[in-house]
Amino acid sequence: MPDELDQQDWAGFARGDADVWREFIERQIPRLYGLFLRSWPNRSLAEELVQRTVFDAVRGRGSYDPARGSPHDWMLAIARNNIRLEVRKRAGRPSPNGDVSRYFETIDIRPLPDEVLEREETAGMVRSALSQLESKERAVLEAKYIEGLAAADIAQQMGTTEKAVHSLLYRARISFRRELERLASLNRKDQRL
Amino acid sequence: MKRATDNIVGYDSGTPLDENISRLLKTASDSTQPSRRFTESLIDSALLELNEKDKAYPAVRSNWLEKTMGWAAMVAAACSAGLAVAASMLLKMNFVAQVVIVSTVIFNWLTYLGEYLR
Repeated sequence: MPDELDQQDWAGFARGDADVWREFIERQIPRLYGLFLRSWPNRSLAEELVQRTVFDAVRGRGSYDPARGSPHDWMLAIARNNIRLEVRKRAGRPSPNGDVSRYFETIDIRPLPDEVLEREETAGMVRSALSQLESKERAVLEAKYIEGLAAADIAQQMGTTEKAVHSLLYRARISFRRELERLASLNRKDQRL
Repeated sequence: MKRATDNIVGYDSGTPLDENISRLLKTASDSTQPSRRFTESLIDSALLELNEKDKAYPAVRSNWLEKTMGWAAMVAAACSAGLAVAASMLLKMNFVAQVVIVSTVIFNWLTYLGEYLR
């Protein structure tokens, strides 16, 4: 699919034509996602920034002028501005140093800092924790949190009931949390030795 | 410290644990593409916002005469207010009288403008 809308659609874009916008947003989402992911290896943050950029564009569409360029370039400028704002926001934040596993002790109380999520060791610990779960538990966690499926869809996919999915997800979250805690504690012991 | 089970409730609970698990699992994923569900949901919400914005703020296209009259009315209202304050100070009126005079002048100007543009 090409990046750009046909030039004949630019006026429709400026007017807020829903069909043109649907096509445009559908093309832009993967590109914006890739752009943000190249800035920070953090998929949650990439989703958040894509969402922010798309809504900034929808709300500010009155400022788009077809004479000054394509909608693609215009949206890219909004995305770059959001990157600049994120960089500025991070500049004032203390970066986590040393062992990140201590942050896992409080994952049921406060959000993990983005900088912790972007550390390679965090991804490694999550992969280890997942590999220790039963295959059904791993599958339900991935279906809900990575694919974003609803309980009914997961039930259909797994050939079970919605109630069983809820119950499996409950157990999977507890197992994942415990496994992460165990790995964090091992990590700390290793560092003390 | 609270235990993990304290914080686990429904399917879409939105608790800190739920949010953190979601963020952690995405971090460990190798995919460089957003999920289909995320894409669809974002497109739907953006289009909804686009339609609501159109309904909430219909575009007002005023012609040059309306624009000119609007600016003239604003300038006139500001000048009148200044004049009224200066006059009332020179005549040593009290504060309440100043407010009444300024409000009356502005109100009259706006009423006149409204009638003219109707």
